Amino acid sequence: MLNILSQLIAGGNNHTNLIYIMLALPAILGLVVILLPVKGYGGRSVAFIGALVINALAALGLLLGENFSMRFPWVHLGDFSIQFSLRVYNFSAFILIAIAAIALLIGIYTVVFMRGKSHYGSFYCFFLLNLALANGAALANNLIVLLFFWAGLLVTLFAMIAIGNRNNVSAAVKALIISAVADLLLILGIAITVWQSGGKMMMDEIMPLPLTGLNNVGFVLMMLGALGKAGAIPFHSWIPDAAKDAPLPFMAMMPGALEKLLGIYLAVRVARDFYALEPGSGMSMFIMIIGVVTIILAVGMAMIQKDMKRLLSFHAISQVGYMVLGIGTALPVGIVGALFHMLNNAIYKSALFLSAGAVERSCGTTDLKQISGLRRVMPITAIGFTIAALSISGVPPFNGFFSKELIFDAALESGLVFYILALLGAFMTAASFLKLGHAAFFGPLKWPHIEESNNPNPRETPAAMYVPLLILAAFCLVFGLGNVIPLAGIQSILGDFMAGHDYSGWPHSMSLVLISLAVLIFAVLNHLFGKLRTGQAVKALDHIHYAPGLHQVYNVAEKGYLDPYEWLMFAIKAYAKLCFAIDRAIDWIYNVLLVKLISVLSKGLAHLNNGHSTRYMAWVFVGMLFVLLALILYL
Amino acid sequence: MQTFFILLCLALMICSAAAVMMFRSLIKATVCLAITSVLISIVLFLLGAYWAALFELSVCAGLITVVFISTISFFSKERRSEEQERDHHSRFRLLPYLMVVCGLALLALLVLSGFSMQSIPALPPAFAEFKQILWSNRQVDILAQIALILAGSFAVIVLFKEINTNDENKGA
Amino acid sequence: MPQNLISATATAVFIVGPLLAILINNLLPRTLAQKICLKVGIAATLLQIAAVCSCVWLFFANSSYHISFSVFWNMSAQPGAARFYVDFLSLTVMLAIGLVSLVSLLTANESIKDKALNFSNLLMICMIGMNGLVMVNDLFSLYIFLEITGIAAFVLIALLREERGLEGAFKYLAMSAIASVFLLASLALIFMETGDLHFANVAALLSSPAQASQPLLLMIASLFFITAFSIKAAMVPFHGWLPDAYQSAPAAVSVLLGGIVTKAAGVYAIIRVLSGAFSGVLAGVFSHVQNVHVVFAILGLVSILYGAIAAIGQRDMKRMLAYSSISQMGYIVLGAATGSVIGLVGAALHFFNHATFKGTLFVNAAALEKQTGSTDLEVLPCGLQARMPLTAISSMLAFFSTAGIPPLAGFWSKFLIILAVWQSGSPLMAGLALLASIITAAYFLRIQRKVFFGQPDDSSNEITEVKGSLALAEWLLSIITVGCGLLFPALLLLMQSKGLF
Repeated sequence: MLNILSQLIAGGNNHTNLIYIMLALPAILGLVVILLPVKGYGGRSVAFIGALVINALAALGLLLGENFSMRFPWVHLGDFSIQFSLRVYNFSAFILIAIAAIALLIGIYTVVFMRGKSHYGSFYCFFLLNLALANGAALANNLIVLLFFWAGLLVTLFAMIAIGNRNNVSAAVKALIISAVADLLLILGIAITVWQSGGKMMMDEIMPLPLTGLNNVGFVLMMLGALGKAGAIPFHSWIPDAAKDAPLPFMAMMPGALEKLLGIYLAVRVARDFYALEPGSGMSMFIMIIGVVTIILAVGMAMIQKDMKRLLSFHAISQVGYMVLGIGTALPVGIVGALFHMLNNAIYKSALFLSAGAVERSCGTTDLKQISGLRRVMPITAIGFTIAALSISGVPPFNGFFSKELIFDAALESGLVFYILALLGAFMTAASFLKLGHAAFFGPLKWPHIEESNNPNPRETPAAMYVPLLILAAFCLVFGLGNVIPLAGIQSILGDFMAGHDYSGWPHSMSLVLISLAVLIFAVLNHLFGKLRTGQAVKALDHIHYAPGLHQVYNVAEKGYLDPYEWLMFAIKAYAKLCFAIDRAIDWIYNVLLVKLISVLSKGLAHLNNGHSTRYMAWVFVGMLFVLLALILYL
Repeated sequence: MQTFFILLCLALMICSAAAVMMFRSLIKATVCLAITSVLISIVLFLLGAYWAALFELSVCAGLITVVFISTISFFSKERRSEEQERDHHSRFRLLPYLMVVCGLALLALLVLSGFSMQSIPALPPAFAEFKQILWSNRQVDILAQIALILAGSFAVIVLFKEINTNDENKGA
Repeated sequence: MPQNLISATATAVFIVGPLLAILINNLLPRTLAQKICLKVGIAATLLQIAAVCSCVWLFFANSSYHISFSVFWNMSAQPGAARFYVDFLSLTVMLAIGLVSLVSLLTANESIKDKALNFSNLLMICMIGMNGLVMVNDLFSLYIFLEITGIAAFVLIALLREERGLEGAFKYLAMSAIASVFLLASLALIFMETGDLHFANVAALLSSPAQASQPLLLMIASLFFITAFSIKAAMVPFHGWLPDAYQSAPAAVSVLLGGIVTKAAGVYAIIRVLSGAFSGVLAGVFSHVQNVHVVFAILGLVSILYGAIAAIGQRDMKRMLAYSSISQMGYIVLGAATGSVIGLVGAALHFFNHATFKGTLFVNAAALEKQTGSTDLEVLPCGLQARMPLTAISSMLAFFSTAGIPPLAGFWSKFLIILAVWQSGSPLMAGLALLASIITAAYFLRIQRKVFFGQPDDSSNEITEVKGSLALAEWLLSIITVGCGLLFPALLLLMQSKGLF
C-alpha cells in the first residue's frame, strides 16, 4: 500500500507494479478470504475491503499515470507464439477506474448486506476473483488474453448466482449457457478477426478492417459476443431469472455495472479499433436494430413487473439498448453518448439495485404489492433511490438526461424511426420508475407483517449501506451538472474521431430537449391517469398491461415463450430426444438384435452338439462329402 | 495257394468281427476281437506289409479294441434290461447272413474285375532282410511299440481295475 | 560333436525321459511312488523344457537349424528310413508340450489325489506320444505315435471313473477309431501311389506331374487324410467329440487336452504335412497339392467362425473354452494352409500361444471349480475379482491374448496369420478371421463380467484365492503370456536375421 501511495505521489511514469497488483491482489486475497477461519467475519471483511481499496487506488494510479503496454511470452509453439500482453491507456484506465470505484462502493455495501448470511466467504472470494478477471479483461492487449479473462468471468458468474440458491442452480446454469454461447460467438469472431487481419493478435496492432465480405461475419460475431456480455437481446433472459435468487450485491455488480462496462468497452473497440463501422452502413443499421429492440422489449417487460428486483433487472437490459443504439449510429455523438451512458448507467443502476437491497433487508421482500410509503422509515434510501430513478428516467439535470440526449441526437441523425422508438423507450422507462418509486416509497406506509420477523418495523439501513448509495447518487448529480469531467475523459479516449466536437455542457439542440421533457411530462400524466384509474400506484401501468393486444403479448412473454433461451433449450431437448432415439436404435441393433441373433445362432449351434456319437459320426460323413466336393472343385 | 490263404483269412476275419458285435459277454467279445486282429496281421503279413503286421498283431488294433470294449461294457452293463438283451440279439440276427451275402458279392466283383494276386509280392523276404528293415529302418516304430505296450497296460490297469472295484462296491 | 549332442539330448530327454519317469514311478514302493509321482513327472517336464532351450542354443551355436537322427544306433539307414527329425517347428511344439504338461501336473497336484500315480504314468506316455509325433518324418510312425497319444488321452479322460468322464472318453475313442481307419486307408493309398511314406519323398513324388497318373486315387487318399486329421484336430464339422470330452475330463486333464493334446495330435500334423518346416528343408507331404491347402483353409475358417459363435451361448466355462479352442485351432490351420512362410510362422507361434493362454484359462476353470465347486456361469457367484484377484487378472490377460489385443502374445501370432491370409489374396477370409476375433472378445468379456467384475455378493464371502501349485501355474502362464507378447517382435527379428524365414 505504501508502495502504491509512493508511486501515486511520485507520479512515476511506469506503473507496471500496479498492473500486477490489480491482477494478482484480488485473486490472492479472494483465495485468502475463503481460507480464513469460518467464524472470522471481521477478518474476512477487512481483507475483502482492503483488496477493493487497494484495487481502487491502483486503478487511480493507472488513470493518472502514463500510457504504456507490457508483454511477455506466454505460449510458444514453434513459429506460433502468444504474447501475454497488457496495455494501459486512457480507455482501459477509464474502464478500470469505473470498475474499481463501483466495486469498492458495492463491496462496502456487501459487507453489511451479507452479514449473517451463509456462504458470505465464498461470495467474497468470487467477488474478488471476478474483479481480478474483469481487470484482466479490461487490460488485455491480446485477443487471446482477452478471451482468457473473458471466459474466466463465466465461472465467477455461475458461482455467484449459484451461491444465492444452492438448491436450485437452474438460473445459474441458464446464465452460464447464455454467456457461454455469447463467448463462443466471440471466439469465432476473434478467430475470423485474427485471420482477416493477417494473424495479428495484438489489439493495438490490428488496423480497423473494412466491413466487406467475411469481415462482416467477424464483426457481427465479435459484436454479438461483446453485447452478449452486456446483456443485450437475445442474450438477456438470464438476468431477470438471476434477480430472483442471486444476492443483490451481485445484481448491482454484474448485470448492473461491470458487465455493461466490459461489454460496451469491447463493443466500442470492435466498432472503432478492429472494424471500421461506417454511419449508415448495413452493419450500423443491424446494431441499431438490436439496440432499439432491446430497449423496447425489455422496458416493455419492465413496465408490467410488480417486483422491484425483477423490474430493475429488465431495466438493466433496456439501458444496454441505448448504448448499443449509440454505438450502432457510428457517429461521434452516438459513441460518446454510449460511453457516457455506460458510465451513468453503471452508477445509477448500481444505486437502484442497492436501494432494492436495502428494501429487501428492511422489509424481507421486494414485492411492490406488499410495500408502500417506505420513505417514512427509510428516508435516506428513498432519497438515493429517487435521485437514481430520476437519473435513469432522463430528468435534467441528472447524468442520465445528458447521455440520453446525446444518444437521441445520434439516433435522430441516423433515422427518425430509431429516434421515435428511443423516445418511446424513454417514456416507458419514466413511467415504470414513476410506478416503482410511487409504489415503494410514497403513499401510505405498508410492509409485510411476518410473524417470525424479529424486526417488526422496517428501519433505515446501516450507514455502510446507505453511504455507498448516497455516493452513487451524488455522482449522478455531479456527472450531470459537471458532465464536462467525464465527457472530457471520454472524448480524449476517442481521440481524433472527436476532433472538432465537444459534447459537454447543456445539450446542443434545444428542440430535442423540449421533446424529451414533453415525453417526461406525458409519462407523469400517464402515471396520474393510471393511479386515478386504479387507485393504487403499483397498478398505475395496468391500463397498458391489460390493453387489448398487448395483454396477450405480455402473457406469452411472461410465460417465457419469447425467451430465446427457452427456444434454445426446447431445440436442444428435441435434438437430444432425436439423438437419443437414433442412439437407442443403434443400441438396439448392437445390444438386442445382434446379441439375439448371435445367441440364437449360438444356441442353435450348441444344440447340434447333443452328445450323441451317432450324430457326430453323421457329421463326419457330411463333412467328408463337402471336403470331397471342395477337393474336386479346387483341383 | 497264398491267394486262398488270404481269402480264407479275410472270411474268418469277417466272421469274427460279426461275432464281436453279436456277443454280449465281454470276455467272448474281447477274444473275438483279438482273433480279428490276429487275422488282420496274418493278411498283412501275407500281403508283404511285415512291420504293419507286427504292430497290428502286437498291440495296435487289438489293444484299442480291448479298451474300447471295456469302456462300453462298463457303463452299458447297468442299463440293459432283459428285454433290451433280447432286442439286441434279435436286431443282429440277420447280420451273419448279410455279411455272407456282402462277402460273396465282393468276391464276385473282384473276380469279374480281373483282380489277381500277382501284383502282390509272392514270397516273404529273407529273415535277414526283415531284420534289417525292422532294426535299422523302423527303429522309431520299435520305440513307439514300447510306449504302446505301456499305454495299453496302464489303460487296462485303470479301466479294468475301476470296473472291478465298482463291481466289488456293488456286491458289498 | 554338437550334432551328436543334440541327437543324444533329443532322444534321451524327449523319449527316454518320460520312460524313465514311468520306470521310477513303478519301481519304487507303492506308497512312496504315490507321494512323489507327480514330482517325478514335473522333473521330466522341466527336463524337457530345459532340453528344448539347450537345443535352441545349440542350433544357434552351430548355425544349423535342423537335425535328423536315428533313435538308438545309426545302422546303415536307408533313404526311406524312419528317423527322428528336429527343427524349430518341433522345438516350438515340444516347448509347449513341456509347459502344458508341467501346468497339468501342477493342477493335478491340487485336484487329483488318489489317482496321482496313474495320472502321472499316463501323462508321461502321452508326452512320449506327442514328442514322438512332432519328431517323426514318416507317415506310418506318425500314425503310431498318434495312436499312443490318443490311447493315453482317452484313458486320462476316463481316469476318475465317473460316468460322465467315461462317456466323454468313449466319444473321443469312437471318433479316434474312425480317424484311425481313415488314416490307415489313406496311408495305404499313398503308399500304393508313391511307394514310400517318408514326408519328403512323398512330397517330391506328389509334386512331380508324372506321378499324377491316378488322380482319383490321390484324391481319395487326400479325402481320407483330411478327414482323419480333421477329426483329430476337431475341425468343424468333425469336431463333435471335443466339447463333450473337454467338459467331462477332470480339471488337470482338460488343461492337458485343451492346452496341447488335440493340437499336437491334429493341428501339428496338419501343419507338418501342409508346410513342412520353416527353412523348407523338410517339405510337407501336401506342400505342393494346392486343393488340400484350400480345403484346410476353408475348414479352418469355418472352425474359427463356428467355434466363436457357439462359444457365446455356452453356460459352462469349460465347454465355452472348448468351443474357443475349436476357433483358435481354426486360426492355426488357416495360417498353415496359406502355405506362405509368414502363415507358417504365425501358425507355429499361435500354436505356442494357444498352449499358454488356453492352459491359463483351463487352470482358471480348475481354480474356480476347486474354490466354488462349479464352472457353470449361471451358478458361479459374481464379483470374484475381489476374492480371487490372481485368477481374475490371469484370466483377463489370457482372454486379451486370445482375443488378440496388443501387446499380448496372442496379438502377434493372430496378426501374422491374418496378414498371411490377406497376402495370399483372400481379403474376405482375413476379414472374417478378424471379425471372429471380435466375437472372441465378446464371449470372453461375458465370462469376465459375469464371474469376475461387478460387486461381490454375499454368497462369495467364504471364497478365497487358490494357493500352492494352482497359483504357481497361473503366475507362470500369465508371465509367459505377457513376456512373450513383449518379446515377440524381438524374437521374430532374431529368427529373420538367422534366415529362418
